[in-house]
Amino acid sequence: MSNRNTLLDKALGPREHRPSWMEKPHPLTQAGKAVALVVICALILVPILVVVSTSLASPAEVTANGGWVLFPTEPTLQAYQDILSGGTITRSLAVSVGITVVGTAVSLFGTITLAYALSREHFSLRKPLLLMVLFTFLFPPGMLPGYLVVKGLGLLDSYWALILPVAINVFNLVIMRGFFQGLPQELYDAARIDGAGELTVLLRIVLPLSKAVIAVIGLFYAVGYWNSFFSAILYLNDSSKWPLQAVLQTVVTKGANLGGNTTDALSDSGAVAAPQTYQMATVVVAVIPILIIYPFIQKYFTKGVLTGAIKS
Amino acid sequence: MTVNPRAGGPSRRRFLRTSLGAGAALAAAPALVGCATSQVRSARNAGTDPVPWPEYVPVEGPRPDLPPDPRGVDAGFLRYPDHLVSSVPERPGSGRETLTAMVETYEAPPRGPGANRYWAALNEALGVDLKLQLVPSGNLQAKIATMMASGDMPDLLMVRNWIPRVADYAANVAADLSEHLAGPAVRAYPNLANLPTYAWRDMGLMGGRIMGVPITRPRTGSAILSHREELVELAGGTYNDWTAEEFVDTLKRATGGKKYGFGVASGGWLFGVPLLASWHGAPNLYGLRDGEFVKAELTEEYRAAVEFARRLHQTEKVYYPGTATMPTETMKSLFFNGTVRAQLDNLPGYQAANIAVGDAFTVDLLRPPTGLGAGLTSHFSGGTYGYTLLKPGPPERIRLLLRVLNYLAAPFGTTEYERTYYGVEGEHFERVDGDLELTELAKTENPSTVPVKYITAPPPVHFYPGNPDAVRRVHAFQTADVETGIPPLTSGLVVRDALRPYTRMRKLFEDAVISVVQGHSSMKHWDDAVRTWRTQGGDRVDAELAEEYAAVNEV
Repeated sequence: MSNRNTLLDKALGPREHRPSWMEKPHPLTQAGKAVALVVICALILVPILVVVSTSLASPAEVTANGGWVLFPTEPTLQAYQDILSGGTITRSLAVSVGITVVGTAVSLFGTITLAYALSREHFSLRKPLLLMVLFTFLFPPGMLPGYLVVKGLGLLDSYWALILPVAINVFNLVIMRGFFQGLPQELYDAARIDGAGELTVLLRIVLPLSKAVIAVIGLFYAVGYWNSFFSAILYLNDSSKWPLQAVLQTVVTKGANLGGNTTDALSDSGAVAAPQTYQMATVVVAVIPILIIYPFIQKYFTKGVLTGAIKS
Repeated sequence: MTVNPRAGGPSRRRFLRTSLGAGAALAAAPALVGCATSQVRSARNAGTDPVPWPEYVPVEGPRPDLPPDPRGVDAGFLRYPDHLVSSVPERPGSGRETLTAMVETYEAPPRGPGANRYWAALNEALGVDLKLQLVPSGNLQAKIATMMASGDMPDLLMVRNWIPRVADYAANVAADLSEHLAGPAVRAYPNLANLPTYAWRDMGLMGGRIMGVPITRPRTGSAILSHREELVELAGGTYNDWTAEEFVDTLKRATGGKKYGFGVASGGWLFGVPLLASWHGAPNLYGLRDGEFVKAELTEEYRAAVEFARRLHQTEKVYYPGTATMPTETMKSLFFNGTVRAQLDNLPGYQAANIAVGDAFTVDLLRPPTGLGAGLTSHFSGGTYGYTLLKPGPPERIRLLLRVLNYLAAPFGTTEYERTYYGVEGEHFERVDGDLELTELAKTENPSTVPVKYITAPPPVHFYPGNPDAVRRVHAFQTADVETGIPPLTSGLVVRDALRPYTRMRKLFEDAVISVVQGHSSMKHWDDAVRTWRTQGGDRVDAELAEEYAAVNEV
């Protein structure tokens, strides 16, 4: 023990001169921190565990347990087999994947090109264009004008109605623009001297150096498209085109407690909702794809967002 | 002289100034639109010459085992009728027409008619290609708002009467059905003539005209479901024929260990206070007292009901903990597994509970106790779920739409009802020993998943395949209930000029009930809410409703 204290004294200086946060924590403090961490982890993990466990339990066990299960006695994948057996969930899952992939690609294309244009000092329309973009950020159009525009463009009942109105997010655009502006000017100048045009500069110089911010912004867009349900309900009259989240809303909530006159809404949903096993299985199916992507993008997160947020 | 290098160029201040100006212009746009459309017709009935309600002409069908009472008792069928009748001699469509209908749904979207035998068979029976535009219940208001703003309208549009300005929208945009349905004209559509008058009245007239077709539901409102065997034992000899104190004692005895006497889900159930108010003799939403139109919450009886709920919660502690925040589905599960011995629900909930519980215990309906307030009443609901508007068109098109609605309103005991509510024999149901047995396919293909029952609906009946005792219990409950039943005076009335205070203060009493019953505030909070209603515009709502009531009911 005394050897250890000596080493600490050598490394950090005499004890009386060290700030308190450099001291070895008291065992009670350590225990308190451990308890706090366990509680915080439990607060996050237990609800996820309940969702997964309930999806694996039988409807009878869920009812007997009062609506949820922590550890199913006889786990079964029956709910997953049922919801994925070529019916509504499978179809809507395919729609969600399609919209997310195409939408993310469209959004990244629009955001990168516009952000690049707005980051170039010599672009004469830079400021008016930036003002227009920021205006939409400060004064979003709202539901009814948005609907009228979509209708006017003939996009009702089209998947493009879920993509084009939200194709460029101003917040993401500003981050991307900041990132581009942070790249050394010398790189642009060197490319110019070598005869590169704007497209070549963008494709050969800027994009290869911007993988981190593109990955993060791409994830933001993908999550946005994946989670979007309201625009589908608003713009797609044909419910066979609904993405998974729109279907999930009806499966999980049956509409009650989401708005309108709750008493009336409840009064006609007398039939018991889809058993919680099916509700939770649908939730798991809806969450897993986007959950899988996170670890692959995580390493870019801090670098991508922070770098783009600061203009050097 | 200092030169501002930014003069003339964009600046933060200039940007904000420009943006605010443009924002103000946008905000003013609706008002300008209002000026441009000064020809908008009011849906109010005061000052109009209202058309007569559709005549009531019952359809002759199989004789029920338990008779209906037009005041509010639904017919009971202990077994499925052996012989069905037809109430629609010809197919409504020729098979070539396409028809769009926007309806609310509580279910995941179904497969289309190409892969859905129920939907395909219904299309075949209707003679039309019925294209349904489904709207999840929670998004109905937003979706209909876009309909109203855009001028779009499907052939059939289901609406709810709580949607703001929906009556005005109907009066101005939907087809006027008066010449087709008012008075004796409705006889051309026998199943629509079979709809009870209370349903038409609950839909209401708009500008004195008939602008839609109601979606009929039972008049019985909320009721307390109970675990019969356990409560009979706990109550002793006074079960279901009790005074208030005997009722409370039973709930207290039912509460202990991990069991609770009374469960009420969150949302608009409000600890059951509206039901308790009916036990105290409060008016049903509004009452006529000494010729005055009086809001229920302003009466002493309603106040006593709030105090009674507060006592059950704070003193007797018979409510399930967390009652104010418990989702409906969770509360149902707690009732099904016996944790909660009595649960506030309604008739559809009673039917579902009988199916879910099976043989585990008997689901009963608790009779209200006596000896409270001014004496027992039963508050009927309006008797509709909503109503359906028709898109204007040539008379032949309107008649086609009405024929389709006529088919969907075919009553129990007809072949049309069987097709609409049970599907195709051999696919969705079988006849077993003279009764009806639903197949697995019926769980995914039925009038809830293909939600045609939200377009219009026939008079309700009690028929629970394989469970005649459940029919007897609910019929007996309604038979007793109807003797003290009072309908809501506001049924079908239009609030227009006082819509703003009405909307603003809709939550006033709800918040007060929750706060007082939970013990967060005293009864003074309730009295303050009453005062706020009276002084902040509630009196305008009351006056407008009274004027509407007089116009519709010719008081």
